[in-house]
Amino acid sequence: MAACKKKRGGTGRREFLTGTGAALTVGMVTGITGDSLAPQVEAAEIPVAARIEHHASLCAGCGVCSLMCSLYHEKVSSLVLSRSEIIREPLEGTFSLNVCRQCQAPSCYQACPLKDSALCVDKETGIKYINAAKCSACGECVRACPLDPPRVRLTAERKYAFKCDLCRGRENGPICVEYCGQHALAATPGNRRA
Amino acid sequence: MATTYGWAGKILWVDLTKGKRSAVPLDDFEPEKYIGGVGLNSRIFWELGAPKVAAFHPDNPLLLSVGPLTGAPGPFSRAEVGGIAPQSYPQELFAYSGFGGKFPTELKYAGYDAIVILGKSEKPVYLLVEDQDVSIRDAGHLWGLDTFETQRSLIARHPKSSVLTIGPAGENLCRFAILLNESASAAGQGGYGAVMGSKNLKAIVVRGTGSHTMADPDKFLSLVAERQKAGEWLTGGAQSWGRYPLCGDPVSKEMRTQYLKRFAGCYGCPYQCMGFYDMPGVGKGAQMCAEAWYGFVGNGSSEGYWEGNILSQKLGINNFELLGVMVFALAGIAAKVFTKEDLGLKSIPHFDHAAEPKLGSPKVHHEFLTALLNGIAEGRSPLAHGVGRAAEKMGPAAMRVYEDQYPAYGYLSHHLKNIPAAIHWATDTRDPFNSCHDLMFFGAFPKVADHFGVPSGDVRIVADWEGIDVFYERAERSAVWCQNHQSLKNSLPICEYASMPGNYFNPPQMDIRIFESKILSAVTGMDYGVERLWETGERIWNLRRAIMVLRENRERSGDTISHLWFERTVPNRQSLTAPLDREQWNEALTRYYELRGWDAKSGHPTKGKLEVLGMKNIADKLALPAA
Repeated sequence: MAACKKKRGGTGRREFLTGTGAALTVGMVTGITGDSLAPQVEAAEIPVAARIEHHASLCAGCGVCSLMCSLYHEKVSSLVLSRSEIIREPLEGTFSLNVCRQCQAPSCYQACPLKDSALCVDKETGIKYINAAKCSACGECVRACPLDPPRVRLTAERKYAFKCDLCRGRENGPICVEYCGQHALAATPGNRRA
Repeated sequence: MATTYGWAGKILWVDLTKGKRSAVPLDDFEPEKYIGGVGLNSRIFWELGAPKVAAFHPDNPLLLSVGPLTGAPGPFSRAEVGGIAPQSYPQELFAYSGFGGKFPTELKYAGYDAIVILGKSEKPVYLLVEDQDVSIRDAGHLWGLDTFETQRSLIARHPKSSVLTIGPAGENLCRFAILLNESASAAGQGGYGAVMGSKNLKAIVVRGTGSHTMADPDKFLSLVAERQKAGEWLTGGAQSWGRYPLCGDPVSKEMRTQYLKRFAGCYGCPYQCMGFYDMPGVGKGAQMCAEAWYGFVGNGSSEGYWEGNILSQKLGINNFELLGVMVFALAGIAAKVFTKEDLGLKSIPHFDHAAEPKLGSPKVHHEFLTALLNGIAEGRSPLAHGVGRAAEKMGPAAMRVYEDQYPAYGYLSHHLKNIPAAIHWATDTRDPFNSCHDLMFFGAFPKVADHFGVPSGDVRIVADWEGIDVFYERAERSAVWCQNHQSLKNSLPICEYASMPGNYFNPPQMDIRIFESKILSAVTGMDYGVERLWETGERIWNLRRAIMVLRENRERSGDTISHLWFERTVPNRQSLTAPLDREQWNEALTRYYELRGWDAKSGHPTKGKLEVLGMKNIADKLALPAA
């Protein structure tokens, strides 16, 4: 996976190799090989979460996704408070999207000292989400994220960490997908548990 | 503070002569009354005393304003440039020019509603704005680079920033030089690129890590959701015009099927009204409307069309005036008023390759376009100062060719197809149709026109866009409506194409005025009801008129268009289909002043009217008729 980085002496690789058989299987079956697999996670017990897919050939780089995202989650329009980030090259006409991949074995979750209170996994949908009210903004999740740049970020004032949670609980699903005028975004179905 | 939401609350004030940068409180300029964009630019210009200096004088301010909606998701990433316009002819006038792209949004996030640039740097510089950190940097290495190269170079140095730049045309004081952000997002008319060049300012680089705040984000989101549900939230219509070359087939079809890569447009707008094309060997970039300037006269050459667009953007030249250059050159040479050599050209495909399909090979067009555009951008071409000034030098016969196509102020005829449009032209300081296609809409859609109380039936929008009937009755109503709305569009701001009278048309619950009123209220937290909103548009127009009176001695006698429009049908598809009738015209103009509440004899606003509009402070500085 091009977006995946090897950092701090290849930690990601080591964790991958020491992952449990179950986690490896899930990873391979769902095509998320390369996402970091932490040893403690019982990945098979977590439903495969939906995640945002970006169709680069359709994207116009308009950033509606980012502005709608920050407006919905943070009540302001902002590029630095958006859960996703469009990397724009308007003169080349090329655009890519950085957003949380909802790793099946989430190292951000493993790294969180307040896991299940601050960084949580939705048992029903598998979505990894942050409960801002409980977050101490220690930044462990940001450091643990295997992607570059990290898909978990801290607010500028270090009040809490934030990342994409697919607008968990929003009636019409992720707001970025709903308002993308170019139909360049979609949420994968995931396997929500009944 | 009045401007807690929507506005950033600060104006970045830069004096290039002294190298000084400061943040000035926005509230000093009555933002609740003049909003932003054109309104704010005009208010700042008024405060500066509407200086009677030449466009290239250091005291001519280069004004750049966004508005309270800029930064919110939607068709709001727009900025307006203002100042004394070098393109205006024969007199340089205070005018305006808008652009979109990402720069306006970035400026808001950096914490500014406007940038005011005064003075002149000794050597080439660029302005770097990173939130509150503002510096003036050496641009010696950028001087001479084209607009694409400049953007690439500056973004490499300042990642994630947005760049507004001039090309060689602006550096060399071409009077129709543009400011460009990304590709095809240009402040085109006015020649403000040359104002920037005259200040030795190559570019403005902005990176903003702040936010746009709204008083009521939930209301904003529910408004958008409601319109999305109704199928009205930026779903096309007028906006779709610009995605494909406007010059029509075969160019449009060839470009669409072979070279279209994706859609493009302004930041934060889901519609994306431009097309992004990549033609190997020529280049890639965006186009939306006047970018088809060469396509209109290129007789089917896609290569010529595309090179015309890419090269003009890189060199930083106004496409609309280039269309005027072509119309003027072709008509003048055909009528033997002047020769191609008089225009500094060795060969013109339209004459030298007239018998060949598509007026010759791509190479022929390439050679012509590079000769013409480089000559203009480098100041060598007699046309570098615009068609009006070129014609004047060549004499009366050439002036006649110019007047055929240029109704007023040195701007090429554009949508001048009915009497309201003629009134609008006559009372502005540049061609008004950067931002007032509303009239065409009214002409073609009686239901919409009736709803807003204006006449209809004088424009046919489909087929070939020719006017079908010229009538004077109630023409002043459309002109006033459109001017007020134009003032709002360019101040809130909201995209012209996304705010036509037929958008959000579900009366009585919803129409474009109600929509704008609700959006502005949700964002600012101030109650801009429809009446207050409309009065704001009217106020902005009155301030512009006050500037015309104070700085340019504007009188009723100056409110006119070229005499040719009264004498005959002008051979231009952007023009009226019958000559204006002098008597009926004068009556319509009188009714216009009366509807405006101005003095019909002088054409000046009255003290009483300005006071009603809350503009006593403005009225006090003018010697105006009382009632």
